[in-house]
Amino acid sequence: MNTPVSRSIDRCMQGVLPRTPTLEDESQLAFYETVRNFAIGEMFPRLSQQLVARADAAKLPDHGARLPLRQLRALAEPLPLSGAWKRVMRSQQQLAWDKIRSSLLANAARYEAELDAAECAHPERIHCDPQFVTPDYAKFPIHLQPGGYVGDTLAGYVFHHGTKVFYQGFNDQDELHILNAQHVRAPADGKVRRVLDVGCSIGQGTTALKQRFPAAEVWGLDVGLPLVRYAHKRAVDQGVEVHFKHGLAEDTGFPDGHFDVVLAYILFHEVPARLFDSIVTEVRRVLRPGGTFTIIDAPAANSGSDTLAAGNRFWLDFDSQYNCEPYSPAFVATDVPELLQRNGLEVLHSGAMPSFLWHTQAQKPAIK
Amino acid sequence: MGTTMQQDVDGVVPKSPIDMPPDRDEPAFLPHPLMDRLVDVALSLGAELYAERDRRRTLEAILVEQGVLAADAIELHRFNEAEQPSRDADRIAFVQRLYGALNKLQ
Ligand SMILES: C[S@@+](CC[C@H](N)C(=O)[O-])C[C@H]1O[C@@H](n2cnc3c(N)ncnc32)[C@H](O)[C@@H]1O
Repeated sequence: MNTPVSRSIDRCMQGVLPRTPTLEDESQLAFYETVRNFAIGEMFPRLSQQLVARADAAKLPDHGARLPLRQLRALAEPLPLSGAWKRVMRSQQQLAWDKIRSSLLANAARYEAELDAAECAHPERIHCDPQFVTPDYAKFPIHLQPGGYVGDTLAGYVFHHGTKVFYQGFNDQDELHILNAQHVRAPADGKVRRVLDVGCSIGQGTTALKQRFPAAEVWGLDVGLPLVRYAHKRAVDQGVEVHFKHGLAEDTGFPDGHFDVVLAYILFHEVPARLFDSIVTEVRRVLRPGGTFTIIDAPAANSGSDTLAAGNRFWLDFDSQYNCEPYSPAFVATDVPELLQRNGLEVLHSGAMPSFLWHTQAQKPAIK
Repeated sequence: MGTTMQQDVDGVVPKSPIDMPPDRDEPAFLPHPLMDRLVDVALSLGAELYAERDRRRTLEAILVEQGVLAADAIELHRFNEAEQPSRDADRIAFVQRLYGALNKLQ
């Protein structure tokens, strides 16, 4: 009755979503996902209301939306709900990562073997440079993921289970990635031979782009080697022919004019602002004239709302301080169309997505 | 690093790359660090409890589906001597998982 279940039982996949090695881990992660939904869907709106009420009581303009962060923090400090919300957000994140890591570590050797096997099966589709040096800015454990994107050989597996919780159930079958691929701008002449998914993580967008452009050669590129290796394994398992490259968005190593379409999905808010110009310049270089670049990311300074509500700024501040999102405040303060224009791209469209995100589409000017 | 960003906005750049901060650096959001840890305890407890409920529901559904389980079989069950040690070990591990967070207080 009480014999521990063997952790080596293969519980297979649920569609394109891997299952944890045990039902117990799956149940606990489902629980943390529900705790996260509760914190975001029920606690946060009340906290926002309380913040606004305090701002209004103090007769602050714009319901406190323009307060400098230090004062915004002070405004929130006396609210017991503020501490409780922050604690629940951070604890569910930490506890979920702990659960994922301990769950997967029990089978570490098997996962390493899977990664090696995929590489042996299709070495021509994974492109790594043994001399690659990871820049320091990419080493932070974003979202508190232990080891971050580069410091844990199983980071791809960990990321997949972790983002399942993060997306609160809306992306179990890559639904958001498929939606993103549909919002990628195709070049006006309709010619799409090569597509690049820059900052591809585990390649969910890369495979979705292959679905959208089946005749094209589709590439994913990421600074995290463990992510790229997992992305490759995942694509091989799915029988989808795409390429992955371990590299840098700001220095991709691809030839000039190589791609017709480039996508950057939630890459920018995770890189330092000082790199924005060099990434856009690099994308411009690898695009052919008339090729397109679509950025999908958090709503930023250009998203229409003049300034974020006090509650949302409080959340952004919490993320940057306590959820290891060091770079996102600078991204949110950025005018994305302006960034693209000043680096020689023509902005075609900028607008909300049917998700929580925003997309901006641009093209490299055609040669006259 | 990240200096441009700090000029742009008053966000925060973390101190050390890669490693999770040692527990001593764990922020306290509540009036006493013990209260922060108690939230961890409460969440872990919820997760453990929910996993058990989920498993029992799964098990009972299968057993009933297969006609193996009589309605009162669980209530009437007694563990035998051979089963008891692993039952005890499971409970000890359960307590350690649940209250391990308290042991992290510095
Ligand atoms: C939030 S994830 C992107 C999600 C991904 N596009 C998807 O479809 O799920 C950000 C990714 O950007 C990568 N990254 C960060 N800086 C990078 C850089 N300079 N060059 C390439 N990738 C980078 C990280 O390793 C991480 O995988």
